[in-house]
Amino acid sequence: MSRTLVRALLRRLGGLLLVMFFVATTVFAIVHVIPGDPAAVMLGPSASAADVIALRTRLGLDAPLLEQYVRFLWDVLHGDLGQSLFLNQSVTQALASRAGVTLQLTLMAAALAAGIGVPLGVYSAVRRGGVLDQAVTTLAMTSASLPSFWIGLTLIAFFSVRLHWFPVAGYGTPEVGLAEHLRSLVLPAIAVGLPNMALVLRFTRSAMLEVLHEDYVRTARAKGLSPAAVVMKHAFRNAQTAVLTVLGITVASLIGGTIVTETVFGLPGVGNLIVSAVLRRDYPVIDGALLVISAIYVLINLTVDLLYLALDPRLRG
Amino acid sequence: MSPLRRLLTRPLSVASLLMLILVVAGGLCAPWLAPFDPQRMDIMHRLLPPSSLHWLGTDDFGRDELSRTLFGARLSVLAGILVVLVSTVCGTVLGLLAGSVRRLDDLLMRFADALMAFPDILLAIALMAALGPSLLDVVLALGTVYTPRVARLVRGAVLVLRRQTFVEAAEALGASDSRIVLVHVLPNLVSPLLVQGTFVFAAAVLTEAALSFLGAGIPPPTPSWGNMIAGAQQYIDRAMWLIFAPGLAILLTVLALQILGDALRDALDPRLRRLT
Amino acid sequence: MSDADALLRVDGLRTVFATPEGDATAVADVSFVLCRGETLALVGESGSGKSVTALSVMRLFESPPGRIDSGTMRFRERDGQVVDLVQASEPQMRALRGAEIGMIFQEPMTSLNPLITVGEQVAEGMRRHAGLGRREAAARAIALLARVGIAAPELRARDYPHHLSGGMRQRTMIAIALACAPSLLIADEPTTALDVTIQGQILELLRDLQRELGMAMLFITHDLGVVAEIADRVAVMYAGRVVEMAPVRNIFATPRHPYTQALLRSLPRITTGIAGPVDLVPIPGQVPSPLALPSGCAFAPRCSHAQADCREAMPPLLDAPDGTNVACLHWRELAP
Repeated sequence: MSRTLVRALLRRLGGLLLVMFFVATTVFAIVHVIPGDPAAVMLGPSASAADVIALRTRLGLDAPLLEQYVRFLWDVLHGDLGQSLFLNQSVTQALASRAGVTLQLTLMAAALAAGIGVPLGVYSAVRRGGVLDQAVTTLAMTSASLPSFWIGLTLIAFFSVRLHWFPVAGYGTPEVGLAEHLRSLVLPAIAVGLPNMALVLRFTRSAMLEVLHEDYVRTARAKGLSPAAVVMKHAFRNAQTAVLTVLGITVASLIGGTIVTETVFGLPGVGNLIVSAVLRRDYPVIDGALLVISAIYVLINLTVDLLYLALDPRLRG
Repeated sequence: MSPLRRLLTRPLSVASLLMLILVVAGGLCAPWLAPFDPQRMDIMHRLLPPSSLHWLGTDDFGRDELSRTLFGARLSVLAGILVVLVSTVCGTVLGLLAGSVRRLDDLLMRFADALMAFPDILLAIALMAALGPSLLDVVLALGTVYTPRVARLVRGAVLVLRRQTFVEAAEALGASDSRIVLVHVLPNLVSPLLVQGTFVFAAAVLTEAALSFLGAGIPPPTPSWGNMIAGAQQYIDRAMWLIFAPGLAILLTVLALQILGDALRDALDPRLRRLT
Repeated sequence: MSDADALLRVDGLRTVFATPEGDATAVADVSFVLCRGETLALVGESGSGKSVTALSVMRLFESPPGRIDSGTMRFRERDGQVVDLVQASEPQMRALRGAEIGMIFQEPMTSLNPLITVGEQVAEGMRRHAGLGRREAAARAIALLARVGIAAPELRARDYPHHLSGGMRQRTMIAIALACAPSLLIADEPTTALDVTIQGQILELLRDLQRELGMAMLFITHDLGVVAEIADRVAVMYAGRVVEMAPVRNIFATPRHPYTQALLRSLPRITTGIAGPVDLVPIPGQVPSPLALPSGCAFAPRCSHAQADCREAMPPLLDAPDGTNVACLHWRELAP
């Protein structure tokens, strides 16, 4: 790899770290700067003034803002995300114990979204204007217009309540049995994956359409290559970076989807944790979850950048 | 062919526009259109399937589902429009600043990136944790979520426009910066902002529904499509129509907005027209 | 030219593109014959239909919206069989493309796949048509790159197109097109996008290869200077029709169609006339839109010699002396 390349990568990494810093600051601002007293909100309107002050001191909310900010950053850099106000564990523990479920769900949904979205996108671009293309595009647009919680509920209504194929809610841990475990994740994965599949499909299709009009595709045809070789070897390869971009975007969307879907299906994942933390005003958990999620986002971005390099020789110099 | 005419030639765009008008009109005129008071409870007649009296049936408190859906439309439409206004105004101001003042550009765009690093719903929920449960708070939260997108759009457009020759010509003629911005830059922003606005509207409707579903948005008994679906969740085996009615309403509204957004984009700038 | 020598016989070709405003006729009625080993140049301004004619022979235009409405294109395959390229099935065309008919395009910068090495792009056609194995094809690709004048071909073969200059990329395109030794090469303005000095080298390379392989060449260009260098015969096109077809010397010495004459007159010349510098004479008016071609002679609206019968019906290609064909009813009255 050339030196300019390494420098560019480092610059990108630096930029992303800077974004993380801004994220941490934003997270801090959300809770501490916005008007309103978190302690009072937490204890409710019936609490006495003394209790509120005691809680404020306990939470360190009485210190000057700058001191709180610095302490917050310091703790974060040391991996200390604080203690949950309602659960009897540290934020890190709470997140770690639930990460597995969310990760599995996200991966399954991502596999669904990419595994169906990309091939369908390629196909509908090649067969532009055909009946299948129009049907697929309509389906994609419809799935993108439905809230994922509604998709989840509809799936439950048909497949669980009517057909009894899947459990209505709840989660089978791997100890109970792999089949049971996976069964409880199938419907949620579809609920999360479907709107994202629509997004991936649309982007893949438009990327392919652009590439199919390029001169080098015409050259490939002029060589008498088979249609498969023209579409896959010549066209799709050049659409890969665009597809990669949308897969990167999909991650953010997938995470958002899991948050809601875990609630619908009663899965003990990070999303469910965040929702209940918000409803209870468990601020340390909220802060911690936000930070972790944005860290994941940054990592994904970096991975996508690295993959760009691997795929496109023009970037390597 | 004027952009509006071009828009109206496609039957799908016309259908979407009509659907949207239907939803907006239905929502805004809900107080007059609704056959029943959306809060009127009638426990004797709860969980009734659709009938000639209750076109969409009744919910678990015996309230008329149709009326609640109409008022839900009102909420979603109001929220959507307000969110678009807030995010467009704030985003435009910030975008103009970022595009014109180099030193602010980096700072503002880093904040925008930071905000966009979160999924919409996550950021919205987190903001709602600090705000209260009312329409205004929801609008504030969602407005914050979508402002960065608009700001990025405007900033990009400003940077491109500033380099174009007609702006250079204006500068050469001695026009002041603010005049350049007002007379030359802003009018060119109208089309992309309009297109972006429809997409923000669609996203706002979806996110508000999710917020209300989770209990972090508009609280019951005020009917929002989201909290209506949440309330119907436990009756999924007995009264499936309670989930379908608001869900269908969301689908039709968002779909119409997305189709309209695409059609607007095609109609307003042929150069943006993709090869679809 | 006897029937046995005729490699490609195009008759009444009509290619149309469907647009929102109606059908655009890009190629209205084109006929020509191309023999083995000879070079026919298709000349005309942009919009004359010369590129679309080339693409039509290969059936490479986007379809939809393009389609061939009528005509035949009879091509003699290597085994002696004659196939009508208009009626041939898509698999039949795929078998011919690259193997018996090769094509090079105008833009070398964008005509090569940026993500595939140069060597591989040359080799894949050979693997497909000549059934060569990977290693064999790769070795032959290197040899081909050497033959088209690329230095250090073993190294260049592993490069990506963006490492190569415009001239080298065009040479690569030529190597790709000739990999399977086709009997017909279609060259669509191959030198237009190149520097003048490189242009000469490419033309010389093409002439060499043509002699060596005994290929026929259909050469598309708007540059009469290039025509003089490379063509044996010339077909002048205007508004989708061939208006004059003649051996190259005759086109320059005795142009018979008013359009050809006007074209030559509008070229800047270094020589001066007897009475002083010769003025450039531009052709008044504009090329007709392919959406609304006139019913009579397409050039009549701009022709200073046009008469009533010119506007009535499209003049056919009439025979003139010295192997020239002219599509003009009054060519005899016009002094070349």
